[in-house]
Amino acid sequence: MSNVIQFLEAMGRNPGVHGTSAADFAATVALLEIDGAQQQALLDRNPAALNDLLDGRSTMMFYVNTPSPDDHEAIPDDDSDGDGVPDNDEPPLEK
Amino acid sequence: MEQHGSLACVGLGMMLGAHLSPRSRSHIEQADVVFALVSDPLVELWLQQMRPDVRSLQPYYAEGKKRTHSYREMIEAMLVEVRAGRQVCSVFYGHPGVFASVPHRSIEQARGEGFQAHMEPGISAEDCLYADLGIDPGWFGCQHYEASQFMFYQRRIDPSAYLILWQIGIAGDRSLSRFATGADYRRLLVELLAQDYPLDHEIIAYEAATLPITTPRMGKMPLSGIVEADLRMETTLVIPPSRPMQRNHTMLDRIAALDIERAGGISAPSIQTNQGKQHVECHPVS
Repeated sequence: MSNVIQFLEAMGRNPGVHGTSAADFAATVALLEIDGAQQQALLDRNPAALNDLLDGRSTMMFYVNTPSPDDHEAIPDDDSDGDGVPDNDEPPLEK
Repeated sequence: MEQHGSLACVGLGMMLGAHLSPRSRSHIEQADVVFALVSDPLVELWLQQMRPDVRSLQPYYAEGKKRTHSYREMIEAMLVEVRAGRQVCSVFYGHPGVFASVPHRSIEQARGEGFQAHMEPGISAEDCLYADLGIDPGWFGCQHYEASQFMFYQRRIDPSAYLILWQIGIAGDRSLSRFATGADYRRLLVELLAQDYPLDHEIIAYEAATLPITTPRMGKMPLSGIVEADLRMETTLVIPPSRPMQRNHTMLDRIAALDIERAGGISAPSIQTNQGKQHVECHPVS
């Protein structure tokens, strides 16, 4: 298990556990058994650098919604009119 | 007949380590199969530490692919395991039931096929927004719309309430296949909003913090500024009220008359509706 992720989890669970000052934070990070680059990324509060060092996913997609509840059914798979637009996008209450 | 497989859609909350409820954690730890869709790669790594066999739903997305197709594939992937008799847990960032059709649809489908399925709530971006911005939706009221839906459909905006637009990064995407739209689309959105708000009205671009080492984004700008602003997948637009609330004097007068009648022991009045008058049973308010 990554010590960095463990550290982030502990910090998320209890933000006061590592002290509230920058010096307290730096002192805690210095005690972690992680390499220097990871320590620096934590001190810099740089998630992108941390992610690179930990081989996390480079891009994340997380839309899980559509403009209309009908879109799941109403949008034709083959886009019959060729404009990439749902043919039937009336809101349910107006039907 | 209820079958053996089951589905639990659980919320992970927004911040790594901070928001996961004990019930959701139990589902994650005890399920036979765990799927995940989260918003931060480090959060995904955290989940992988809890469940090394977690199956990310990220591969179902692709630029140019309709999101509705991706969503159907995600739902089918979950249902295949449920049908095989497994206890399935699907983990979603924030709250799995807020601006998230996949969890709702998968639960509906599982139940429709006779399986047990339910949702465990999580701390959503909306919850974080209220805390970070110091907004109480009860003060003036609060309207929430998915940004594209807001553009595609005729809505009645109340500028004396908060207006919050979600998925602003893809505002105006009719194809449901883009990862971002852009300035031209947002210019149309500004035109639409300018019917109810002045162009210099101060709005807020908000992003919840997903790590305990970061802070939320709370960028203030004039309404006109959103055209060129950096609005991303995780950005939510918060538009504070631009007008004071207007008293409804007609209703207040009728309530006052009702109060006087009740104080005098007169029987309950009738209600005037579009369909005519209806008798109403009155009970004291405790």
